[in-house]
Amino acid sequence: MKNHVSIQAACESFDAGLMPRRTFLKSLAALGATASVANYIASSPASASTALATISGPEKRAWALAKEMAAKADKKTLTLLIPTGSIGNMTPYADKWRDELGIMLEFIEEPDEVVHTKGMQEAVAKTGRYDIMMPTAMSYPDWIDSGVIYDLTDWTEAYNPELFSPEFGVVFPASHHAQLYNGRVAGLLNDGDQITLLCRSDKMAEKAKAFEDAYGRPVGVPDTWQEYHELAQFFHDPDNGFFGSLEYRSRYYVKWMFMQRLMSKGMLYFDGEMNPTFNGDEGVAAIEDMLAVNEYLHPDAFSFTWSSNYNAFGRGEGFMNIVWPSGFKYSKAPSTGPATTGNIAATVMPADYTKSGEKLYAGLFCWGYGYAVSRYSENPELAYAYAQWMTSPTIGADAIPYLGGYSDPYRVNHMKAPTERLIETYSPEYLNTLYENMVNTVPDFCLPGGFEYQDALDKEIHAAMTGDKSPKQALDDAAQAVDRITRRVGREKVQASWLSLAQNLADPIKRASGADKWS
Amino acid sequence: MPQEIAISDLKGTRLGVPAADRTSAPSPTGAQRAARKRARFARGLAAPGMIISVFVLVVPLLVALAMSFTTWSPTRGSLLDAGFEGLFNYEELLVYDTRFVEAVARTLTLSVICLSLELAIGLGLAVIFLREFKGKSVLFSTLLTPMMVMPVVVGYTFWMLFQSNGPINQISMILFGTAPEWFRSAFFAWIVVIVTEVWHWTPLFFLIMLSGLNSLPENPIRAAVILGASPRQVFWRVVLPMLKPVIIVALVIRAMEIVKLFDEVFILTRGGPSTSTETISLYIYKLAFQDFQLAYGAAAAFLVLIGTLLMVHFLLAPVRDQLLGEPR
Amino acid sequence: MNTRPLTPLLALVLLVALVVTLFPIFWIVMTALKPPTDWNAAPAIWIPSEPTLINFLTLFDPDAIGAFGVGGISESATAAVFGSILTSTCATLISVGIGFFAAIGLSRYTRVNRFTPLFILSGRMFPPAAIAVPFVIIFSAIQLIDTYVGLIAIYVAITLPFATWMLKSFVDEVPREVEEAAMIDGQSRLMAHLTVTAPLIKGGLFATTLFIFILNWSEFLFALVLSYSNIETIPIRLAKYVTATAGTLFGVQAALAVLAMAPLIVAGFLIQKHLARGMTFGAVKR
Repeated sequence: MKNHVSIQAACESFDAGLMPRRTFLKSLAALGATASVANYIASSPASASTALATISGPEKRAWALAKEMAAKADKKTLTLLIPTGSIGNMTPYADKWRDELGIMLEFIEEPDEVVHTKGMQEAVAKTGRYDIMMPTAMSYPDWIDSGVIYDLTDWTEAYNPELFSPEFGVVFPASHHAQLYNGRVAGLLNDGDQITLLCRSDKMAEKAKAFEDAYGRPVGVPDTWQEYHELAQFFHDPDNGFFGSLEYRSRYYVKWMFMQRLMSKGMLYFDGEMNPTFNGDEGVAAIEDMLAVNEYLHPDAFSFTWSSNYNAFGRGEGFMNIVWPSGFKYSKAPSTGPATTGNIAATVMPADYTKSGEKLYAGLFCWGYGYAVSRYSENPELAYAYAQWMTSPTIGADAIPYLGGYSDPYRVNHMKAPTERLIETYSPEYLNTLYENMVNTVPDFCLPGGFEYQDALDKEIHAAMTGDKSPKQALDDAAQAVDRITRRVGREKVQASWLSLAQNLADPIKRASGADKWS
Repeated sequence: MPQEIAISDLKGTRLGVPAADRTSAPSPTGAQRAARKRARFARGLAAPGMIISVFVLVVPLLVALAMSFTTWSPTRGSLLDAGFEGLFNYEELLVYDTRFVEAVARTLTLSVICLSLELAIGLGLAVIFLREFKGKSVLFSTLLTPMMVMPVVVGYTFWMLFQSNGPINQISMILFGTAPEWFRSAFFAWIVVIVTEVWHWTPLFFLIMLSGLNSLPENPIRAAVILGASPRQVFWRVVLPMLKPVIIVALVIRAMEIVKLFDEVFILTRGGPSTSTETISLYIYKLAFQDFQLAYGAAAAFLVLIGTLLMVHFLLAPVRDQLLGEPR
Repeated sequence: MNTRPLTPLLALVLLVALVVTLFPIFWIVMTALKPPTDWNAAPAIWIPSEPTLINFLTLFDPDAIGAFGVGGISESATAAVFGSILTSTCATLISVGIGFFAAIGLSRYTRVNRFTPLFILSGRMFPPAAIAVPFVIIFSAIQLIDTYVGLIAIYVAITLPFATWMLKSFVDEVPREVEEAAMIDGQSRLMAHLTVTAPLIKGGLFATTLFIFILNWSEFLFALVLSYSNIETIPIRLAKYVTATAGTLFGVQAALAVLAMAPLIVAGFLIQKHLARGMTFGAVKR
């Protein structure tokens, strides 16, 4: 921050009661305090000075470290391996790094699915070409085991990025499942990828009366999967090219639709002994539920990619869609969502009932990019400083709204004390939805061999969706494949990492799945 | 039909030297020296190709072969520390990995279907091209264009063409009043993959077939015509047998490539629904570049390599003598 | 064989073949001319409402398409076009050159046996995914990873089998007496082959060069695996036209695809008389 001293002074005079709130906010803005700082300070119950110190701490410490390391570094370039299409969140800061630290940022873009491949390849090639790599949370276990990235724990302890702060840390449990491997920090999350549900508010208003007559309750975003099904059925109008829902049935995406429903029923992928549990009654019910919805899906559901899915919804071809936060942005922008701008009602993923009949809200945290530091980097601490700086509560809030990047809100303050720009990008309601959904999330298979597990499941779910296999058969086959993967990767290794993953989930989910009793 | 090639024009003009003159005369020692020189020259000719093949193909192949006897993966430390596991991977693949066996069978089936269609269409078009008509040369080059398009682009383009509101379904709605969801069932997904592959590579068959037809000696055909054979009989009894070597060679060349079919299928279906269009190269790619089970992937690749070698060897058997030329 | 004219039925068949061949090409070209709003329109738009060259401009000026509210492309395609031209041209010339000598050797100086064809072709049968990782290991050790030299070496090696085989079939057709006459006239063996054999198989050299060039030009996997930042080729670039704000940029992809296939189609037209006669891979003996 440019005028840190003056801002500090303003905070002190506000604390001393010398300045009314409005004047204080104005003067912060005039002094060039970033909106995220001002917002947080103004809403903090603690004194303004304390709040200022804490929220800007991670950024300041990272910057100090970066300065020190940049001065020492022989190589004045930081090279980042990033997924294609994500550069927009990073380029706005390249000039600052060049002008103030003399560090050039070089971005190497690879198609999103190739990032994991390139990282594993670097474990073999050891070129040192990358300083920082941006994988999804699922890559960490294999990357750490291959020795291609640093365990960041020592650095996070020394320079405290405030990952776990309840006020502006990364939202729990994503703070754990999207950043840690076996309890150690493997990467710093910069993308709160989770799926949420979008509905068309204009269509609901249009047919409010008819819906109420038919179902005896007012029309609204679905609270349970049952209601989701009813809404899909009610609004399905294929003759006019309007479909009940646009969820994915395409290969590679379809597993997430299943995993989400499984979570909603309070079931995790494995029990405490690493035995697959997704092929029990809940799993079969989840598949049957999906099969029942098939009837109301968009005809392209079986070949959707995220991009064609977002576009179809934006063109107004369906009533509901299950999307990552970026999908909400698409629907909100007139250029990509001509039919949906201003007509979106979003909600957390629908609830379902657990074995004991309890209503359970669960979310699915899937994908989720983060920064990891290459072990073959010449300047690993500088690379770490960059990662901490970019993911700090303040810079993070500033970076997310830039166009042309995948980064979505991930820290508490991004959703609970948002800046004007965040609000403009996501709307206050949606930021709140994101927060409410994220606190209940269960991650992907963030385990050793994670990509293999997901593919084994995906293949069988897809077979069930096309009717090639019965639900039970498909899930049993998947369970068998998954068991083989566990055996090959090493049962004890996977189990340890699974237990540490399952320990840090929302309490209702732990209770429902029995994970609270695992040791 | 124009049949002569540049070489035949030269025959006789510069070749006045009788054969006897060339082989007679040199003394035994001179002959030995000449033979040594000749052998050295032959080695020199082969050397660049050999060197680059050894360094760029054989060495990596040996590394991959060594790898295939371990259970190494980067998550388990260095390759140098990996233990020898014998034929473990091979046993896994052949006995327990149904997905591998299925992918092999599927690739074979797909190859047979695609190659038959490509051959039939390519040969049919080539036969039509034996006739004279206006615009023949422009049409010839135009029909070759699909070959020039990159596989990645072919994948994206056909994916768009087969979307539910894409042009194929628009046409289908007009003609039949209905249109399938192409990616929802194995049957239709196969059709998409086959149509794409056939569109992309029929031109090569057409080219090779036409080239072969143009190169056939005319005398047997003339003789058959004089003996009163109908055009149909001439084609089936005379032309086709003479064309057999060309057909086999074309099949071999495309078969070797279709085993590697990857880009189009990956973009169109990702191997789906489920694994119903997963070709062997898609599966090996998954093993090597998504799961990084490098040792296992290498073993799978070796099995495919051996299979391809055997296939090519037996396919070529009937025409081997013809291909070898006259050794000296 | 027969030089009869076309019957109406055959003319119809040719017409169908022409339409089927051209329709996807037409689609690529039209997509390249579509503004972003038309790329994914439903129902699909056949002829762009307002044809534009913006996709082509975007290839070389990534911000150009910003006028349509699409951002997030960070690099121009210049490097990829340059990289593709460099690698494909060098690799093709070297492959055909080496293949020519190997073909002469096989055709004239080697006692071939029944495994010879297999031996020549085996280089083409390696599943690329299997040798790509060993390449990474070896090339990193000798500093060839992420260099054009490394990529060219691989391309030469994997296309050499076809180059050798195709050229051998052409050399086989040249009567050896022609070369021998030149040798008797006092030329060295090498010169005889270069000055006599090579011109005689000119058409074959053209056909082989085009075929090998197509293979190199489209290669994807090795380029993907071996490139970090110094090298890029067109197929790699094509896979990178995905942005967070607009998804897959079909128009820009199509524009690059059109640029990439145009020179090949022109080359195909220029050497068509050689193509129509030479591509029998030695299976027909005159």
